[in-house]
Amino acid sequence: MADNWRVYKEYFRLHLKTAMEYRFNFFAQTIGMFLNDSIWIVLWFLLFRELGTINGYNAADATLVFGIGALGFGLVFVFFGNANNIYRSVEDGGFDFYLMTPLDEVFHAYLGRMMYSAIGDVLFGMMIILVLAHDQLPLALCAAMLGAIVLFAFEMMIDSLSFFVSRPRKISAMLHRICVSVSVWPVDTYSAGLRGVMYLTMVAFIAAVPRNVVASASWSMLGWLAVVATLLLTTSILLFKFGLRRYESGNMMTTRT
Amino acid sequence: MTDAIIVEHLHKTFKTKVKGGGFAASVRSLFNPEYKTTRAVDNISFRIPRGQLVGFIGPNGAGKSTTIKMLTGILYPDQHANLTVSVLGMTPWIERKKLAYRIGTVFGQRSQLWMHLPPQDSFDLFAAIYSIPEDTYRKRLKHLVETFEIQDLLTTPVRKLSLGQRMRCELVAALLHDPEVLYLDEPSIGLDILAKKALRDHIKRINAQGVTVLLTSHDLDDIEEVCDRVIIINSGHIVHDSSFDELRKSYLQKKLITVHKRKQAKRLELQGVHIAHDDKDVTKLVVDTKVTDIHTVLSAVAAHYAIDDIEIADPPIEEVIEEIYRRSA
Repeated sequence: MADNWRVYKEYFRLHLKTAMEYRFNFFAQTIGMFLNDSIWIVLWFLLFRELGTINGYNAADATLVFGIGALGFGLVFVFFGNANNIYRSVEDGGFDFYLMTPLDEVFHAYLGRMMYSAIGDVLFGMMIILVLAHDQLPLALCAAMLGAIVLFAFEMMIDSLSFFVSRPRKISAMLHRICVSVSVWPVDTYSAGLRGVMYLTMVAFIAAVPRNVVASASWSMLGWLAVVATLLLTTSILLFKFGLRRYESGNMMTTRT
Repeated sequence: MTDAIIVEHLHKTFKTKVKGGGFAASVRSLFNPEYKTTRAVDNISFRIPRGQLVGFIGPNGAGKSTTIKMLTGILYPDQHANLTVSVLGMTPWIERKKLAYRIGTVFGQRSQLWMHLPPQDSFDLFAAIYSIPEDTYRKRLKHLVETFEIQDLLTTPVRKLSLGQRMRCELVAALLHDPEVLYLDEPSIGLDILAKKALRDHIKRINAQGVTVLLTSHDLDDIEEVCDRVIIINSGHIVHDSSFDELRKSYLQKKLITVHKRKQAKRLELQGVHIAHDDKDVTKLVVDTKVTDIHTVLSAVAAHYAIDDIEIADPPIEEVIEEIYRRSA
């Protein structure tokens, strides 16, 4: 049996070492993303100063949704940075590498890259949780992690398109953007119909539901979130593996970076 | 001797969309797409005994890489009743992960090493991927580093290595887990003559240690220097399977000589020698070695021309295949 933990540590070390080869890029991306996220706090506070509350939500609630969403996004793209990037290796045949080793190809493929700017998202999300949910810290971290699993499952489903649609680059990017940008808004402030769509498509489970778990300090609600996350992840892995049977490889020149 | 690789009735077809030129054809294809089926590998069978070094050659698009990808389990072959594929007793696409511990693969067009980091880091990653115990890994790496003479390259980022140096590191990466079968897909692509020679020596050394090697190339010289046996594939079919000596006797009786001259000379008149090209700097000769042996021709060439440089080559693989088809017709 492959020692996944050893592989994981080695990949993480190599990603960080690669980042250190280009220190300026690394720090610019990380700090840039932290600042980019921070601007949203200003936006929420300005907006809610004018509006008071919407459906019981105030600026701190909206910021917590955004913070949990940012942490979830950061965790996915730091630790499984090939999310929403698999189509490249499916198109050029680079996916062969993940099929040539004894590791599980899904686990291995997603480890193959780290998005350095996502470290800024992790730092920002952690800061928000420490400030706004410090009294529920273990619950908030667990909820954010489950939100990250839901986002990862969505990304994997989007990536599975690569096996069914030729040149899925644009559609993958579009679905990814919809998924990420919609999920970090406080969906419980929406009208009933739109809110229904967010829950039915499960997008609400990325950040809004984890925030509700923290707000209601409910471990049982966390349990339900864990059930949804597990179901979505299992479905996405099965879909990915089903799609993989259609993989046709390719012979474009590729290198590992 | 047991067989390391058994292939019987292997097929692989790909479906590709056909689109005519122009806007109207693109719109038509949107609503009524047409597909064509390409037979990349069309009913091939062969067996490779353990320890053999086999050249698997053919022109671009012949089906070499597709076959190797099916033998590693990367691609699923077309399924049908007569199909049998066994590598070290395993069916690659079913037991891919188990098989991966016992085979190694190098694709000349695709690096397994991390471009921005020294090879040492990639080797450490491979040791983790293949669950090689730390002390075994250290010992094995030391041995491979000495064998492939890469001591000085271990700390240089891969992007700064020459192609030949990189290829030696690729081989080390592929051999770290001590595979019993090694697939080398166009490993000599882009290498200069010295690097090719070094690579061929390394391949022979790997094979001498008992590793079964399947080497694809479209350079006949690669195959001539290292392989016990040659399988030629074209358009998905195996068109020839014999020892290299038999191939030479049957189809490689021609040699191509390119002479770079210091000064103009009269045309060389010699039986069995045809002048394919002649200008003031370069003369290209096609020699039929059945009529006049190569030593006689070389002596005559040396006496006739003021030589700056000389190259001797086999005919390109495409010509050999053409000749095989011509004779079988």
